[in-house]
Amino acid sequence: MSASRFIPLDDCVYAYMNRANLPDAHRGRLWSIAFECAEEMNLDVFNSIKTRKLDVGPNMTARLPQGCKWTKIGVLNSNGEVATLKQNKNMTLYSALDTARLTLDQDANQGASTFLTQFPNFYYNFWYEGGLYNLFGIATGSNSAGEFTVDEENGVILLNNNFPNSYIIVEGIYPPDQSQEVLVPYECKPAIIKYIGWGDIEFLPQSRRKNIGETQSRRREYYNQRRLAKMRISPIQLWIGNDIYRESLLYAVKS
Amino acid sequence: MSQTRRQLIQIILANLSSGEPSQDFPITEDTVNLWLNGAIAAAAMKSYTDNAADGYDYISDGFYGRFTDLPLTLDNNSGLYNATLPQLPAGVPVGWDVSVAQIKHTDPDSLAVTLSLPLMRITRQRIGYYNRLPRPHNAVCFYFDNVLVSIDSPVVLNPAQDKLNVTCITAGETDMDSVLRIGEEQLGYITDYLRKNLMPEALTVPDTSDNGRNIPIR
Repeated sequence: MSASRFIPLDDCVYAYMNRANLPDAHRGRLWSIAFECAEEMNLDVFNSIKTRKLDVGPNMTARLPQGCKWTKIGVLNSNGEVATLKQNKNMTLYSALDTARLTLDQDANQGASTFLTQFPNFYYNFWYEGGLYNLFGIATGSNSAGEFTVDEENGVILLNNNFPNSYIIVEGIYPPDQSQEVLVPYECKPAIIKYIGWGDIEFLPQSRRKNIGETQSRRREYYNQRRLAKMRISPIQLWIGNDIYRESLLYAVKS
Repeated sequence: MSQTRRQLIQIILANLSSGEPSQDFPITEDTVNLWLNGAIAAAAMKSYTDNAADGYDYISDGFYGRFTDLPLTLDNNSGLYNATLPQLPAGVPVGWDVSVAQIKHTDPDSLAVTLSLPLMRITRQRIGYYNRLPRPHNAVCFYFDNVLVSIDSPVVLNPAQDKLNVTCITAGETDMDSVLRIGEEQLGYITDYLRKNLMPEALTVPDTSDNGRNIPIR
């Protein structure tokens, strides 16, 4: 078990069974419900972020790890940071899985025309009468260590054809893995218990155990606890406030 | 309660016959013994329904007994480990019939005994789909087919060193001199149950005209 503030999901299941006075035979069913909650809260409340270093294949693609909802794709710089690549949604997904992708995804006859100009030039800033100019008021485009796009369905990260590195760093949110012990932050425990309580009766037919009012009140309790869990997980800290204050101080022309 | 089955049965017989049962009393000790397990199961169910009516599930601990060292066998076709209970657990709501099942491991060298955490019960309606839903990591699951216990274990068990311990509702052995495992508060219900079911038999007038033979003489 992790030494941090993460607790096993089983703790929440047993806490609910204890409160609801349910025998141990309900554990399997309630655990499945709790797992659904952990999946949902992993997306909305806490994020189980993992960073992986992936090898880039000879066709300039990399396999997106199973279940990864990527948040950052880049390469390492000398400061120990991830220098992010630029997501280029114009990059084609055609031949994404092909080993000969680098020859298939381009058409040399077309040049490198963009939709803004018919001339065979890259569009760096502003094209005017045969030259490139930097103009005030026009975005300069961001500096990036390369370009990528992601074929989500096939789980492939596509890099630009002349991508210089042999690896990429992929940071992403991963769903809870049932082949290992599922751990959740303890701030979420009350919310998960409420979710199990709601899920326990949500789809049952009307009976002594379930009625519409009870179900609705359990649902409200869950959402309220989830709101509190969000606040508990990321409380406002002094240094964040200081940073916002300092970073917003600029030398600027007064209007 | 340290009453043996025979003692209880003799009390019932005395009660039914309003005194010492005569030699030709139609109900024998064996007959009462046959009904006794049913009576105990019914008392367990009544204990449950009485408590459940108040919204609080509970069955008296007195009904529970433990079967230890049940041998495991590996079914190579299904990959499940099987064990057989000596007795069918009483048909009370799930979780109350078999309360705890644990694997008992004996170390072959030091002979030290360790008990696993309670195994996870798979209820009857979940057997079909529990493999498709997420379940706790490393959970050893079990379910029942009558007295056959099937154990689905992610770790390899060694039948020579691993045995099954089960705590469930049981009426105890049917041996006449075994001590009954029931709380004294249940005695009244069990006696009533037996008296009600055995009374028609007790009231049968013995046929004294054919010297004990049941075949009519023509």
